[in-house]
Amino acid sequence: MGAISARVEREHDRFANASTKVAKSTLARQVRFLISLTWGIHEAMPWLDPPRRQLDLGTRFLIEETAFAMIGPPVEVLPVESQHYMYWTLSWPFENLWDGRLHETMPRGTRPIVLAYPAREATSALLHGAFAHELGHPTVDHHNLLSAVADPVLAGAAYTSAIDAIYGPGTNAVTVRQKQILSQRVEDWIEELLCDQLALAFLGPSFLFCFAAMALPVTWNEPQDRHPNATMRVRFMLNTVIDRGWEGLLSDKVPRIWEWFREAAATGPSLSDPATTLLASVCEDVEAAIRKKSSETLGDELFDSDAYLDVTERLGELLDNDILPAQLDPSTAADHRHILLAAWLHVINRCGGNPEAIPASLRERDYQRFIAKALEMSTTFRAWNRVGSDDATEARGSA
Amino acid sequence: MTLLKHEDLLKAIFDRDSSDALVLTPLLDKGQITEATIDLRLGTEFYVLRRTLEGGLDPRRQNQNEIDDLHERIVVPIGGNIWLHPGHFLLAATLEYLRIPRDLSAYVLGRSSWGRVGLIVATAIMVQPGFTGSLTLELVNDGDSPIRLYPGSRIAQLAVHALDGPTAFGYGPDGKYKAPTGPQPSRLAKEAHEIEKFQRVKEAIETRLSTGNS
Repeated sequence: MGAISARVEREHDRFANASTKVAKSTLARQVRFLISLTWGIHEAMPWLDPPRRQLDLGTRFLIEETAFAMIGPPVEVLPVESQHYMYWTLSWPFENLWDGRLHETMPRGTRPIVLAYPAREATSALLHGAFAHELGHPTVDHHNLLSAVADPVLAGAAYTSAIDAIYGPGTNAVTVRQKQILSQRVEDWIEELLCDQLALAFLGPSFLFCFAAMALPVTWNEPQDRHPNATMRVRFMLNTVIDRGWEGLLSDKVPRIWEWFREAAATGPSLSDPATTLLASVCEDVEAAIRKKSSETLGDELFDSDAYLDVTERLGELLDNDILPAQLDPSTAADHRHILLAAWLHVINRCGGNPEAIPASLRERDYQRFIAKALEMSTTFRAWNRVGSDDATEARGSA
Repeated sequence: MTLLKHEDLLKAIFDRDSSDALVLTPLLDKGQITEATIDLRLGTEFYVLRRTLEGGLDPRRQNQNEIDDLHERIVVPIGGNIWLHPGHFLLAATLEYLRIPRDLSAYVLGRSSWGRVGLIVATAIMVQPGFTGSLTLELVNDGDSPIRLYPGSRIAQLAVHALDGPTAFGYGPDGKYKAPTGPQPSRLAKEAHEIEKFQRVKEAIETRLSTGNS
């Protein structure tokens, strides 16, 4: 607001002696432009003035850990309710104002991310794994992942000749625009696939269940402007799931859903026009690069299937006995991602184990509050233990 | 009923199978298990009654949603605090999630260090065999000075008793997750039908002579 006010002052001085109609009209246009910039301030309001209604602490802890693992510090995520049934992020809410339109340098520091979730799903701890995909967008931006994956393809001779084959080699304005639009779609699709893979790398199969609950049945094999067909996204995710050692667990614990995922993965796009075919082909070409980049970005934070398999029996025992799965034993806190995955597998089986069990699981609101509490308490217990060991270290030091 | 002492509490918590253990999770510190009670900590969720311009609580006239709407949920993370002023009332919950096996029952009691500054911690103190969930605490400041409450503080204690044997039916969730994980507003609306019944009883008393059914 200070920067906008300063611009208003400057414009006032500039046009102080304006008397012509043209000058007055220019001033009015400038003022209207500056007023429009306040819309950006409005978008940033959730960050500036957080709403009183808040997500449960357990989910907030998980979101913070996801952002920390994907983007790294300093990052600040603010979850807000959205009236639309979708998750989305607004990262660096002021960036467009400062750098793009006010020509001022934005002060850099903690990266703010406003993260919106559907108001209806405020207590859906299981579904909130979808956050991980949305946090993927600022992650892609922060680490320049899209350029690293897409640029070599878009600059390659194979892509140029393929796009020329569709629209012709001409350079007239219409052809150039058509090619720009398709190239933009290539980037959009690759970004979505990167976000899927980042979410999967961090949350493991829990993200696959969230995706199956939110997106897969809605669009199935229909490609969208900015999103690949959901069946392709599932295929890429299943390839990663298999690559990272999750297949045995899923085919054993949720066999009918695993088969459904395989059926989805084998379903090609509903369109076979040249542009869609090229888009799909480019995505296939970069699949390995997407997986590699997402793994590298997560580094040590990659969800390790072996570590989960070590605790799956214990978590299942706790859930079977209605015990909050926050502590594995008197001294060990359960890992958040382990809790979430065990919770999904447990409730899916309680709801029948079929694909229909995924949306049915989300109707179990009390169960989801129970899981959110487990996420909160495991964090509390882990932090308590850390402080305890710090105290012990300090005591040894002073002795 | 026998009050469980320290060694019995340890056995009930650590030596039994998951299916019939006394559960308190997270049990941050084994030191919470004292000579004959277990200290309970203050949780992070609270309910306060909203001030209203349209009367107050009336279990006869209001349905459960209307009673729930009179409460405002407040989340105070660990490290935060909330003031309780003299005469004010606050619903809170234990940090710990509990499960009382069917052969035990328990009582929630205040701790004297808080009681001496005027804090009353619980009025509905019996915990039934089979109870699962976080315990709702009814906090009242009966002293003269505002009291600052910190989530995580040891605010109450649980005295656990052994029954003669396991009860046939527990207070459990019956396969559904209905166990509370935070404070629960009053379910007074469920009493409405009984209050209504007494209205009819009153009418019956008043009309008994005219109808000749005295």
